[in-house]
Amino acid sequence: MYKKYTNKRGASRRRILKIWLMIRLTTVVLIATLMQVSAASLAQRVTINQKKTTLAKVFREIHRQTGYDFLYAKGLLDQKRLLDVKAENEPLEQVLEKALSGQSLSFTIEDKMIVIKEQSFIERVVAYFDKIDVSGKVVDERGQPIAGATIKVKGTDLFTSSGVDGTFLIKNVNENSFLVISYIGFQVREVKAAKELGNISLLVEVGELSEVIVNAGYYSVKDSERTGSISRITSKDIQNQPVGNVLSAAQGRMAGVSIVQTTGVPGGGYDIQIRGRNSLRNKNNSEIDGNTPLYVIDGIPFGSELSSQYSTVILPGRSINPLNSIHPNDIEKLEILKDADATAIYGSRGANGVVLVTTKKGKPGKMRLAFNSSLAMSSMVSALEMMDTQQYLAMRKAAFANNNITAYPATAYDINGKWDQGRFTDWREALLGNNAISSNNQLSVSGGSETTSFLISAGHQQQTTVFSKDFNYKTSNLSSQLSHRSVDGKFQLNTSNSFSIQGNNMLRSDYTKQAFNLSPNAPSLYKADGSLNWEENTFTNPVASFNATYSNEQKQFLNSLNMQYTLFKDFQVKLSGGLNYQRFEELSLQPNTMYNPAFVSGQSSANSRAFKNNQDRFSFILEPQLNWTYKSGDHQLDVLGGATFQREVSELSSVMGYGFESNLFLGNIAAAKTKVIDDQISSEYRYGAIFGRLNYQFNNRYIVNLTGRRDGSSRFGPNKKFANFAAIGAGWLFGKEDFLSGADWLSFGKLRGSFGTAGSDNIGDYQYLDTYTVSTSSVYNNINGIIPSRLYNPDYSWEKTTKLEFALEVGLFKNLIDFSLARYINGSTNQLIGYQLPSVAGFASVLSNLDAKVRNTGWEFELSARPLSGKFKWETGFNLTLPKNKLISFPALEGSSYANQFMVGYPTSIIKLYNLEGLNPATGAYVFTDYNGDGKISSPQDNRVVEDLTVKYFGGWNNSFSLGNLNLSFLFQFVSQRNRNYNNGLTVPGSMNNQPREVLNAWSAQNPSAAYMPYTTLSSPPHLLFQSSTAAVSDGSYIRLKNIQLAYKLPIKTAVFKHISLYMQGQNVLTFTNYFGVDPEFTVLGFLPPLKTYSFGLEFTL
Amino acid sequence: MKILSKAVIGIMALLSLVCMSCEKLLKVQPPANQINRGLVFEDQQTANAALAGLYAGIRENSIIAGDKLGPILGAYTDELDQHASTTANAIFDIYQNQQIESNSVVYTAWQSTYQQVYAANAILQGVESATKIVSGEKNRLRGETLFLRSLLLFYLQQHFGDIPYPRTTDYLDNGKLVKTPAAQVLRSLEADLRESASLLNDANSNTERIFANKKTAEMLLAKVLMEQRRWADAEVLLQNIIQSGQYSWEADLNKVFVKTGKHVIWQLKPSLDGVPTQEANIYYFGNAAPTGYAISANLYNAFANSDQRKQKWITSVTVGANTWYRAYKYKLTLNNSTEYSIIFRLEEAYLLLAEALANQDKVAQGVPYVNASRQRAGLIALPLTISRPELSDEILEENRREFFAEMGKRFFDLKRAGQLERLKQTKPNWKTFHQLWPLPQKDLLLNPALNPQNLGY
Repeated sequence: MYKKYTNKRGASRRRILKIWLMIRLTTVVLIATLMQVSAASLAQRVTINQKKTTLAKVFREIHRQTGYDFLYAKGLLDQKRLLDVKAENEPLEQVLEKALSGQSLSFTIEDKMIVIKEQSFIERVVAYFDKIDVSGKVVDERGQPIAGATIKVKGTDLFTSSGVDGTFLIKNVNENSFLVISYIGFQVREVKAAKELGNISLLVEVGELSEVIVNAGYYSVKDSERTGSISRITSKDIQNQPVGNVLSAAQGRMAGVSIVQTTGVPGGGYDIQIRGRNSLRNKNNSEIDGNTPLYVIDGIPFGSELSSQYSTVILPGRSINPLNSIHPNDIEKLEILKDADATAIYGSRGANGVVLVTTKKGKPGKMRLAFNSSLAMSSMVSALEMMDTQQYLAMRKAAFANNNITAYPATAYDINGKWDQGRFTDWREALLGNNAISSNNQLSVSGGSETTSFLISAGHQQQTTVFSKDFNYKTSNLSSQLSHRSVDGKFQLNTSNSFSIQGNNMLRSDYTKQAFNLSPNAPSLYKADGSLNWEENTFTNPVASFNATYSNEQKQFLNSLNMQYTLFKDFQVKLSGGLNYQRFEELSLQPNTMYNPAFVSGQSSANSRAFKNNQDRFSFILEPQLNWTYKSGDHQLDVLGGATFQREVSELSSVMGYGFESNLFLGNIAAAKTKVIDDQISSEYRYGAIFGRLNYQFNNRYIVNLTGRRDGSSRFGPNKKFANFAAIGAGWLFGKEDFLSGADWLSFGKLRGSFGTAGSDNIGDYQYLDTYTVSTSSVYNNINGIIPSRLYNPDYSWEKTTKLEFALEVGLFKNLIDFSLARYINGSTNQLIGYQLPSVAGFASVLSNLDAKVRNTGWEFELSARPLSGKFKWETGFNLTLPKNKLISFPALEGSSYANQFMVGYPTSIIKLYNLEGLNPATGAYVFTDYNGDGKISSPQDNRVVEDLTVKYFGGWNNSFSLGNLNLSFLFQFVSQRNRNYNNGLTVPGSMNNQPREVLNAWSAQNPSAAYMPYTTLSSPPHLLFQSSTAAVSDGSYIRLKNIQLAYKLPIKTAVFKHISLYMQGQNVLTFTNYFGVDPEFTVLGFLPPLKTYSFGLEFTL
Repeated sequence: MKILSKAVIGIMALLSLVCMSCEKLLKVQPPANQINRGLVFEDQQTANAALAGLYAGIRENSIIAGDKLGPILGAYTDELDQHASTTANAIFDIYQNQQIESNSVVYTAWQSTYQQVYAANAILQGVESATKIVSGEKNRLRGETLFLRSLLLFYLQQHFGDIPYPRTTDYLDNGKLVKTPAAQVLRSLEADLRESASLLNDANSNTERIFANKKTAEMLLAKVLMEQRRWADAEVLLQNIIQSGQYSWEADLNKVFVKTGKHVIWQLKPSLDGVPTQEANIYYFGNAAPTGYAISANLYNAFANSDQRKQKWITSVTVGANTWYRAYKYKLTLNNSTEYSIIFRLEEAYLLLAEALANQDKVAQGVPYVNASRQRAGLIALPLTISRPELSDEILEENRREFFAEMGKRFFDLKRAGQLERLKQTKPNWKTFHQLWPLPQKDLLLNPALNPQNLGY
């Protein structure tokens, strides 16, 4: 107590009066102590840095450094109480003060003896009155305020957060206590409490590796201590990009994660592969792709893609990505679990990786209102050049001449004089040249008290198409999030709710292919009066397809709830739960006006058709969990156990209407003359599991992580419902070892490895049942026919993937440079696929386990550096992935139905091609290698050239420069691959289809060394071989300036605005490639490739 | 560490307790739109529904569907022109007699038809083991299904020559099935059809003649016999059909494709009331140049001007200076209440009988069966004194005029008469090997036992 007076720097006057009496009582002792303490402090200084330590240990260390002895009553020290003590060459008494802060202990120093005593009553009373209101401002090195920093009174439950301007105020703080100030990305700082602390500057955390907390799904782990392989991007990378789906923003940013957008039409799908394709099941040979990852949003597994029924000709693969429903700006971070250690806890659904989405949370502090608005313009780009009218007509004339046809056929309108041969239309410009405009507005309100925080966010996005402005895609989101913890910190609750509506109103079929194929002298689209021009029924007008629409509306409610209670010390019970309700409605309207009125289908609205499909999906999940942490000395153990139960019920119903009195009634199928009610399908999926994790750390250096799961799924037959999955991971933080303590350049070093299994049950429901299905197209004599549903195989079981990984993570020069290198070897067995059968078997395939093994191996390399960190800041990151995929074994492949699709020892994405040797200079005929010498070019004897379409390597390079308020960042994405080129889908050169200019190089007597055979108007078997020859696959590598952003923070501060910034973004801005085709990223000709987008936006905070 | 192990054991015990009831938790409701196969043949009603599914499957999704056989083989031979606006498509290749083994139309014909054969085999197996269906009904189900399977396999054999003849639903066996030689296929079909005819009654189970009866099976059997050149056996069956009294000659050309006609032996009913036949839609074009099928000049000129069929069953479309013709047998593209897709009609029995007789040198007996349709169309009767080769020729020509754009009859008639070479006059690419289609490449790859490929491909 006496000591406390000596150190008092300025008690409030009103308190001085109050305690005046007490001071008088103890004056004498006070003076004596004062002298002693001063003497001690002059003599002794201590350096100590112990975390989660006990008082006894701290005393031992002080004893070691100073030689002072401690004296205290047995049982006085709370051995279980853990504290952090950090002091750098500080006076002994100050160190003791820190160590005892928050405990009802006091000390005295006599000679070389430190006596620890319990505080007397008086001392406690003084402590009670000795309370002040502490205020200050948290700033960074440059004096810029840090909002949202946590200020905690050490040893108590008192805490607050800094406001937007960095300021904070904590009332009733014990005058002698210390404040711990922390903020993500900055070093933690401790300061002694005082009334006015002024500016407290935090230093930037050196190195990102140290204290970043990574979400691993069922648990979180410090990035430095994780044993699994987890890629992540945060809102910093996602924020404000002109994209509708976070996956677009993630392209090129994550090692081992290949993302390809499958269409430029908004609201479509993505092909995402995490460490390669494990399953042989793909969209070509099965209804459901076996390679899709598991999506988990705020802990709630999101069901697989909804099966769209009518979008076949507008969205490739009828694919609608589940993450379309979440606004990218609502996402705090995206984590992707890759290896066994990270994914085995997701068991049967983790084989293809897990995508974890964490949405933004509210922060304690002043209420904050943020508004963000942007406008973007997108256009379709392709470097492919097509023939003009002159070149095209010359080709056509040559084709007829080659076929010895002198009288042009009646249907060759382009050349027989029916169509104006002087016309030229760039059909890509005319049909795909519209600028798609998108707008994006988002408003969020957040705030909270010390125990409760909230965030409410509302957003609206709208985007038109390059086809026409009449079509659009809209999304609206409303989400709210609430966090609460009890004052004692024992109970925690997090809940988030989001509601979204996506409305996609598109034309029914993507006519991109026609834009490339249409004759350049084809007639105009519209007549002078604005009506569709059919040019006297000689012209299949592409924009007639505007009359046919595909629209969908998806409403989704997603809720997640996490509750946690600390039952007793270090032991928590947790309950996670959530529900997901999706309502999906699709409408395909095909009025007769989409057809030429001269044809039967175009005659009257009696030929109009309307299709409507409704889907409802409700799923809920419950996951009780127990978590126990045990620490003793250098040992630390984390134990997690839990169970999952999930139930999903899907209902699907569709109706069709044929024949309407008027097309005005098309939206109402009840008005149709013929109404067909299609299947009313309901299906149920149940899933149950128990899982656990055991993490052991020794000395903060050696870590072992065990995870396991036992899964049951209703998707398997009676005897195959259950399976076990497990993994072991280990890490060694060698950078902390003594033998490296001299190596100043090494700031962090870790070796880790993992091995384990994960699986996949993504095969659809009820596939093991032997049933007949009611089919509405099978009505005969008013009897609803039933037809066999499938070939029956009750015995298929889980597909398993074994994953092995080793990785090295290093931080250099105080983490100025961080890099990591990972090697993975994954093997998938027990392949569950639709085994293809010849037609004679009755069905194209049967679901069964194939004893084939696919191995995915690869190297992943990531580097990040901060070359400049002064006034001019430069941060850069680079990632590179070298994946390899190989079919290891496939018993009896020869002679099986896959003989032509796969080859043992080769990747699973090979194609077999005819070898084009060139053209016969004399005749212009294609010459293919006749491998078996039978004089005939045929499959499978002669298509022997194996082309590997697997990506060789891919990655990205991103940079961020800032100077003052200005920030410039850009990302280059690169991919090295072979790809099918335009020749693969090339129409016969000389037929009534426009061609790329390359096709001008066709054989003629004058051009004997051409690339293409002589033009012809007839269908041509050699051309079909050419489409499947080595000429149809070529280099598809590209480097793309994926994203570029310039942001400027306005240096104004008004009473109203706390923060205003402006930004400009470009997406898919530049592409460098030698690819011959529409777009190298994109492989399906006939659909719109991803668009080039520029956006401009504004963000402000109140 | 003791505490640790205790805790872990405790947690795991708790969790396993939770999961003891897992088995129960995973029990799901069966899908509402599916019926367990075992239950289908436990009930007369559902067994009938399975058969209805097969009839509908044949109508919608097999080689003999109204929008498949007629137009495709019409274009393949000399009846129809194909006016596809882009020439690079599968049907255009067939029209040009340039189809290759990967032709998608050829593949679809093969694949969809075998899918129906599977459905037929599933019914045969189900009925076989059915315990609660009365034997009379069992016979009818088996008889009709055997007939339908034979019909499918007959047309497959006619297109592809040697074909696999699956008799079960075992996909492991069927996936490796080898081809049965054509002659053996015909013998098996004969056996199956004789059994079918023996199980079925003469009476139609429905007044609309939309289900197979005994005579339907015998009609197909006659066709099978004629492919085997067993003219006398075929004659017996055809005489039997014609003289049974069940069918009567339709004298009015306008009523030949009306569903209520007494000359109809068997027809397929469209899916719903008002839905047009596929034949009515597939040949239609109006006020514009055709983009699909139109009658070839060769066929149009085969009709004498006095032939009423030229007016009643063909209609012209004139655009500018060009005139095109289209098949107009089935007329209703909207609100159809009177037309079904006719598969067998009495006229065919007449002309088959004439052919069977001619081939046995019974010329005078045969001539009246040719004259029946000639005279109805307004042509003069052939004299009974005509020579046998002349009669055979007249039969071919009469078949062409009577059955153009119907069931691909032209192709099968020329083939049976050994006269396919005639097509060389009008079809520049016609080669002798075109008498068979190529086996689909995809299936050859999936089941190498189907090799060798048909000659020429």
